[in-house]
Amino acid sequence: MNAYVLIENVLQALYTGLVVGCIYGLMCVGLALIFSVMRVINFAQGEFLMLGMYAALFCFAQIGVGALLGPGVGAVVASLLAGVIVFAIGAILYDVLLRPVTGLSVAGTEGEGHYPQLTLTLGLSLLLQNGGLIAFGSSPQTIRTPLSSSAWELPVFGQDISLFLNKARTVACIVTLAVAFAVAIFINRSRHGKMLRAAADNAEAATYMGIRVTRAHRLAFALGAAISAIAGGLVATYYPFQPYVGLEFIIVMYAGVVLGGMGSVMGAFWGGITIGLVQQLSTLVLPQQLQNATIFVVFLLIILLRPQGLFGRNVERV
Amino acid sequence: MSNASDNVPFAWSVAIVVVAIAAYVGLAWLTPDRYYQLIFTIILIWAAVGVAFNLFSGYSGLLSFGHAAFFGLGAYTVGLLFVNAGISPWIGIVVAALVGVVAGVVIGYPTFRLRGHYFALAMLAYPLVLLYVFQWLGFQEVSLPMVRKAAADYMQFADTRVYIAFSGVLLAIALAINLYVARSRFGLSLLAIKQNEPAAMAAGMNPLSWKLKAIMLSASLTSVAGGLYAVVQLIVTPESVFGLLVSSRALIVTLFGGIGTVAGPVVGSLILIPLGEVLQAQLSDILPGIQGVVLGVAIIAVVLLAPEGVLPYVMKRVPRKGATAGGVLALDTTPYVRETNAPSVAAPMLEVRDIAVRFGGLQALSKVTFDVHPAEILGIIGPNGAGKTTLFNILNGFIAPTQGGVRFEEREIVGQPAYEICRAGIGRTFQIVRPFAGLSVLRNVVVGAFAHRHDEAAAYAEARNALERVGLSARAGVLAGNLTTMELRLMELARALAGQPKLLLLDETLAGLGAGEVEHMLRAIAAIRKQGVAIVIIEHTMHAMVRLADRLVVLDHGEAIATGDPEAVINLPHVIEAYLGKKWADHAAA
Amino acid sequence: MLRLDNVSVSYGGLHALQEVSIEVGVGEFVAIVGPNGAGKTTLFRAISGVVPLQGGQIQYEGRVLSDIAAPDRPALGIAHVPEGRQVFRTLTVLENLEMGAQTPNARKAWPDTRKRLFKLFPRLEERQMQFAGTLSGGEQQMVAIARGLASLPKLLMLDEPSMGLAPIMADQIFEQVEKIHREQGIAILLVEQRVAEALSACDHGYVLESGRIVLGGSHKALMADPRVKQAYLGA
Repeated sequence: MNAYVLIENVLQALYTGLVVGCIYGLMCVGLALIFSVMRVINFAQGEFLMLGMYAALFCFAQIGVGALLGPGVGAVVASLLAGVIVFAIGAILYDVLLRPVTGLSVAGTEGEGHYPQLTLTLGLSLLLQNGGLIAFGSSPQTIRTPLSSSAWELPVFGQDISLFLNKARTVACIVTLAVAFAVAIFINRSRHGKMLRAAADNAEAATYMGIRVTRAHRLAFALGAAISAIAGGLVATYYPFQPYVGLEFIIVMYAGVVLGGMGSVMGAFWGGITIGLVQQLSTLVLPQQLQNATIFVVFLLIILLRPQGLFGRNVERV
Repeated sequence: MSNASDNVPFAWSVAIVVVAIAAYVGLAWLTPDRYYQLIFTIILIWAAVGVAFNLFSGYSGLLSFGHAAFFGLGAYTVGLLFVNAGISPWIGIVVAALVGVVAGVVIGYPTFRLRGHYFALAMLAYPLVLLYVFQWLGFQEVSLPMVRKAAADYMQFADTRVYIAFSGVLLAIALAINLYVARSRFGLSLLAIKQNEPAAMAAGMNPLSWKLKAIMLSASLTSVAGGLYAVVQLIVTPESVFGLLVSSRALIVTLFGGIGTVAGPVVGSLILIPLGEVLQAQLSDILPGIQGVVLGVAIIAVVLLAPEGVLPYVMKRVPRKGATAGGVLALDTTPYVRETNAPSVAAPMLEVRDIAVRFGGLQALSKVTFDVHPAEILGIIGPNGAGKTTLFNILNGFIAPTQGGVRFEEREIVGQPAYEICRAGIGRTFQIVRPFAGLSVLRNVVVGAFAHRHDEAAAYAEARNALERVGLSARAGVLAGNLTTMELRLMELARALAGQPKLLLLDETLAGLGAGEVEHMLRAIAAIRKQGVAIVIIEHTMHAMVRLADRLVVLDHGEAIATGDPEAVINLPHVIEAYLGKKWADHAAA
Repeated sequence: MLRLDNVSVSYGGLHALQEVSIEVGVGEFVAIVGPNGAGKTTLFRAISGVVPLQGGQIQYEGRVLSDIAAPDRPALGIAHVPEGRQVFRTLTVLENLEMGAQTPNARKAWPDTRKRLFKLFPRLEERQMQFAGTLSGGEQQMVAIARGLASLPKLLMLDEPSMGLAPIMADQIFEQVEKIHREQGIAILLVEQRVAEALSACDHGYVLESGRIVLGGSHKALMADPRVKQAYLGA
């Protein structure tokens, strides 16, 4: 095989891996936030992604954000609005469903409190998936913009090697980085972010400080949902979606969170990037259809061999 | 063969199951509509999967989110053997059973090392990996060909009602196995491991071995169900057999009906599957995916409103006979007075030598040395954080010391796993008693006897004997959930005694008991010693310890600072200092 | 200021506290001593509202506390320095202190409070950007106390501050606590296993054994009472 083509393929895979990885990273941050504060594995996180996609489409097309602001900016703004919508949905879901089975009595227990939460979020996942099917129908959708199918060409090494930077994905990646940065600032610098971390660290001591742990959990859940929803809205600009789309990404999210270390919110971001790279690089040597299986296998390997991931439980910031 | 007086005999239970299923099949036989015949068949298959799932998850307490792996492997085994090798499904299903056993071990062995979330996530991943792999392998659609001649040899029947009967048989077998397990040593051992794994290990059980047996059985049955499913549907796709809905369905019908109960999965299936299927059939054009909604709503409702499941919820409202038969145990609350004891001159039974343990930067124990003589009561005391529980965990086999040795009856026991140490003759009680609330006292206690009695009859005999030794015989048939704290403590003691220990480690047996109850317990413990059992006890209730123990060992900051006669030890200046602080000791001395 | 009347608390069949009655006057230093398992931590958890009462009543400044939810009690001026310190290990020292100042009054005064706390505990100022989980036991205790003080409390509850600390460190912590009491006039409710230190500093004290108050009195009376030893050692 031509050396140039080989290098080009590798570079392309690297680039795509990084770009897609950043977006995965943002999805993972949402899941990790919920887990680190509430110790809940949210099986329905993929559905928050899905809801974000539909909400973004709604804002873009129905509300006319796309017409108002143009396709590029419009799609981004629609994703952010989707985040707001899903934030509200997440808060309501927390109050109705999760509050009874989580909270001070359960936070911090490594054994007993699990299964009710897991099965509850599993039920929620089924409900949202199939409810989505009823509400939205099964035909695939995208937020179609001219960006989705055009790319910048970047000559590398000035020669016959060019990288094709898909515009929609690249824009999505940049927005992702901005959002992830904002989340990091919120968690590490803001008062409410610190309160979240305190509640995650030691719920009982947090109560002694006057921190309402329930409020912290609600914020974590709603924000986690919103973050994944924004990522979804961005993905919707280049990836077709239907109500079951969550299933396609859920394993990416789990793998990223576990790889980053299950207690670490920003570690999950790096975990997501790694998964993106693994996925894209694997296409160089494996058939397309095994892409997802590869992620699963990586996921299983991490869980079995190094469950604490790269950054472990007691990680520092960012 | 059952020894418990609180249950319907096994043969009767099986008879009820057979009759009920036969009735169901009979009624279903009357349906002319092929679609409904199919639904009736599917209900039974999913019920069987639920029962198989329950066999593992209900008893072990490990929720498997990935049983679809076994189901799908079974379905593909039957399908592929038929399509590619022309092998009849009759044989294919047997092979599927074996495939299930192997898959159970292969999946279980590495995954059982994981806890909590990690276990759940890993189990979730397995069927989904298989889904993608099978898609890639090109098995998107495996259709079982219709056979014209000798169709019955290939498990194909023109009258599709036959499949209802087959599924009925499958369910009956699964239920019979479940009923057997429920009252057998297998089931009780798994329950014990679920309730409190460390305690189960201390009682002589090897958790990994039991869990593997459970998953092998469960996986095998699930694979058979998958094989039957392939025969009924005549088509196998990765989504339909490995998909998340398959795993979820098994889990949801079981949790909905009542996990850990025999009838739970059946009840769950009978309610949810028809509901979902019928709604799906009638409404799928306006409400596609209604099945998933039904399952989702069902599980959410159950978790929020009736976490143990519909069946237990309903049963709780029905008054049970024999629940409070006999009334509460009468206690002898007169103050316990120790009979004078000559110090034991027999050779030590337990020799603890220079035990040291480090956890990270903390030296939890250092240079701890003492002996325990036969039929002696040795008390281990010391201020908070002194290392008492750590010491017990070493004697028990839960942790290994970084230095030093422990010899029991002349044999070194450091490094042996807890269940081996139990079988060697060291028993242990635990502070937090978690009984099987829904089982009788006798059933709770017999778990302790399984350590070294493989014969069930002998084990039950030893359990009764143990109950007598603690004075709880009158309450043997009572459900543990109805006991008082005191009775629970005595039951825990009986459980440990059922293992015929020569040395008993008691962990804060008196904590939280009222004044009269303490006296009764002291007497019970002294009685055990009189029967020749050596006792090592950790306690904070000092006024009781001083009267109970023959000798005391005082630990402070991980070191044994005093050993000897109780009255003498508690008046030693450095012991007083350990408890009350230096200033007090100085002040008192002055 | 703080009054417990016949308070009883049970966990799952165990009677952790049985009809406990205690009083802490404004600005008083009250010590509660007693052997392990006596229920001392349960007492604090009841006052903080983290466990429910089976019987009796807790009154604070005339108000019945059971009407007030646990996260709202710090705003009344009750600060709880928990057993085992319970610092937020993944937050820095500064963030830990900041989290202590979450009540409305305390937030406004935070900049000043911060300066004062660092003056009181200069070691903490040096380490303010370090993660609390990396500090030594004694330093963590300082963080826990400073965190409690950050809420500008009227009542400071300390649960076994000397536990797990080397004697010299424990003495230092003790001195700090006495100093805080003298200089700021805050009421102190101290639970300790080190009897003499606790009793010599207090205005009056109680002995808690197996969930019951078995002795109470001025510090002089308790120091001379042989029944204190009996509560710990049985005889």
